[in-house]
Amino acid sequence: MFVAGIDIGSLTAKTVILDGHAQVVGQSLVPTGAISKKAGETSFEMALKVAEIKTSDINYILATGYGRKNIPFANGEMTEISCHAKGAHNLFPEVRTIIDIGGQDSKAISINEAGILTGFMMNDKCAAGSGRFLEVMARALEIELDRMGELSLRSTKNIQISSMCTVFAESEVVSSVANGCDPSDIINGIHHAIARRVSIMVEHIGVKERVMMSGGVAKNIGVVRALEHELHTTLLIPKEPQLVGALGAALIALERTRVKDQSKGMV
Amino acid sequence: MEKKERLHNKVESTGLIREIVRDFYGSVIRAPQEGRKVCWCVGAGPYELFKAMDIGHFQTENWGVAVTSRKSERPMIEEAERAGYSSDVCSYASINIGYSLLLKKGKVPNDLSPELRVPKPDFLFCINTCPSMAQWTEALREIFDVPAFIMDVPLFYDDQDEVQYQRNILYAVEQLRDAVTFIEEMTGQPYNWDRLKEIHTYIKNTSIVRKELFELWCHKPSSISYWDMAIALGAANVFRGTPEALAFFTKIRDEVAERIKKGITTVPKEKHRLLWYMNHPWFKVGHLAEFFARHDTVVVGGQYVIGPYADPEKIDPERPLWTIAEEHPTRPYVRTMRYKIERFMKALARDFQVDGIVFHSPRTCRPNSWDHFDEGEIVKQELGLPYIIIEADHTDPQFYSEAEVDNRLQAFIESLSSNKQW
Repeated sequence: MFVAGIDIGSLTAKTVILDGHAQVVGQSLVPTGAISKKAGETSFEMALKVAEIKTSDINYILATGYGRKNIPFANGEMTEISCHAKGAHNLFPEVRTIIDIGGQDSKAISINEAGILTGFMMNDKCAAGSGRFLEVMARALEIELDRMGELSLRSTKNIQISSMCTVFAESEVVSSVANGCDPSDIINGIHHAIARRVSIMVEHIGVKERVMMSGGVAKNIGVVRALEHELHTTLLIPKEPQLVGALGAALIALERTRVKDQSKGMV
Repeated sequence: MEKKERLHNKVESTGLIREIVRDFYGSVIRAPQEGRKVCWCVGAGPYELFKAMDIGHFQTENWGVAVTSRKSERPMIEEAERAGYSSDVCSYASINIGYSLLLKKGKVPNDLSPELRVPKPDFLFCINTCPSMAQWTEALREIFDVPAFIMDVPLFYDDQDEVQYQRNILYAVEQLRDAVTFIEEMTGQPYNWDRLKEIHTYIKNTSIVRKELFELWCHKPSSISYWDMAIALGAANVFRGTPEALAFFTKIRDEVAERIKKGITTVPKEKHRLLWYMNHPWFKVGHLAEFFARHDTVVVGGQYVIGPYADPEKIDPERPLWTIAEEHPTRPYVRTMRYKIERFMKALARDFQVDGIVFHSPRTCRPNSWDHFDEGEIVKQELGLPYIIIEADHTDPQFYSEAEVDNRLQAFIESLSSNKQW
C-alpha cells in the first residue's frame, strides 16, 4: 500500500511517496516550467522510479500547491497551507509556527500541539520576500543563487535595501554595485529586508516556539540567520525544506486511506 | 476533481432583476427625448426625491456594477487613467469618470450595452457617506459643467449619544429641504409631495416583505445565500419604491418559503456557514457562489446585501424627509467601528449561526476596509469566531487573482474543518 503527495509550486514540482507505515520510499523535485500538469506528471514518475513501484501500486494521490487543480490523476486536493502544517508536525512535533517562503509567496502558519491548523497569513500579492525576489537579485549581482547565503555571512557592513518592490529593489541593488559596495554587504542587506517583511507577518499571527522554516528559501542560510535575528529565536530547518508540503499531502493521503500508523518521515 | 454541474442552487426568481435593470435604465436613457431632466446620484442616497419628480436618475455605483457585470469596464478605467486618475482611485468612480470623459468626447465604446448608455446629467446629487464621494462629484461637475448638490453626512458619531444623534437627524432634514428646493429649481416645477409619499408607501410595503425574507434567510440549512441576496440588492437600493420592486421581493420570499418547506437547500452538503463583510467582487459573484458550494460551505449573511430600509417600523410615508434622514445618514460606513462590530458582525454572526467571517478588502476602497484586521481580531476575541481577509476589488477585475483568492478561502475552510477528520 502506497500513497503520494504532489506539491505543484510556482517554481518547482515535488512528490513524496509513503508506504503504509508513513515511511518515505520515493521523492522528487523538478522545475515547474510553463506547464504545471506536465511537471506534476514528471515529478510523480520520477518518485515512482525512486520507489521502484508502479502507478497502480498507489492507493491515493493528494495534490497541493498552486497547480493542484492541474493534476487530473489526483484523488483529492488541499491547499499547501494545510499540507505544510501536516508535514511540519510530522517532522518536528514541537513546532507551533511555520514560515514557508516559496518561489512566489511567503506564509506564516500557526498550528497547535495536535498539528491542527489554527491560523495563517500570507503575502501572495507581490514577489517581495519570495524565492523569485532572491533570483532577480542574484541575477542583478551576477552571483549564483546557491552562493547567496554563504556570501552574505561574510558581510561586515549594514546596507539598507528599503524598497521591497522587486523592480525597484533591483535598481537599488544596481546603484549599490555602481557605488562600489561589497556584494556580501548588499546580499546581507537583501536578506534582512526579506526577513523584516516576513517577520511582520509572523508577528501578526504570533511567534509561538518552536518555529520551523520550509520552502526553497530555507536553504539560504543568510535569510535563515536574518529571520532568527528579527524573531529572536532559532529556526528549525528540515533537511529537505522544499518537500514539506508534498510530505504533508502524502500524510493526509495516508489518513484518507484510513491507515493510522504514523512514524517519522525524513528529518 | 472539479465537478462541472453547478452546485450552488440559486433562487430562480432573483433572475427577474434583469428586467428591472433594463426597464430602469431604459427610462433614464429615454428621459432627454421625453423632456425629463437627468440626475446622476453619487452615493447610496435618497433616490426617491428624484423619482417623485419623474427625473431620470440612477446611482453611479449601481451603474458601475451593471457595467462590470457585463465585463465592459476596462475602456472606461483606462480612459480615467489616461486622464491622470490613479488606478488606486475607487473603481466605481474610475469607471464612471472614464465613461463621462468618453461620453463628452462622443467616444462611448461600441461594446457597452445600449441598456447602459446613460445620457449626460443635467445636474448631480451626492451623499457624502464615503470620503471619495464628494471628490468624485467634483470631477463630474468639472467634466459636465452642471450644478451639483452635495449632502454632507457626519462620520463616526457616537451612537450612544442620543443628543448627537438627534442633532445629526436635524442636520440631514435641513439639507434635504435644501435639496428639494434645488430639485424645484432644476426642474422648474413645484415639488410633488404626494408622489413622494406614495413611493415611500411602496418602500415600506417592500420593507415588510424583505423583513419576512430576512427571517427565512437565517434558516439552517440555508435555502437562500448571500449571493442570491446580492443579485436582488438593486431592487432594495436604486430600483426601490415601485410596484415592480415589491412584486420582485414578494416572489423571492414566496420561493424561499417554498424551498424551506420542500427541503431545497443552497448547497448539497452544508458543512460550514460563513458571514461576508463589506462589498464583494461583483464580477465574480457566480464563481464565488460555486466555489463555496464545491467546498460544502454557504455564505449566508452579510450586512452589505441587507441594504437600505431594512426596518419597516422606521418608515413613515407621511413624514418622508424625516424617514430619509433616519435612513441615509446612518448607513453602515459612517458608523463607529464598535457599532459595526456589534451590529454587522456579532449580531449577524449569531442570527445566521456562522462558523467564521470573510472580510473583503477592496484594493480601491481603503477608506472602508483598512480597519478589517482590528474588527476581525476583536470579533475573534469576543465571539471566538475565526476570520479571513481576502484582497480583491468591487468592480476592477485587474485587482482580482482567482488562484490567490481561492487559495486563501480554501485554506480557511480547511482550517474550519481541521477539528474534524481530514
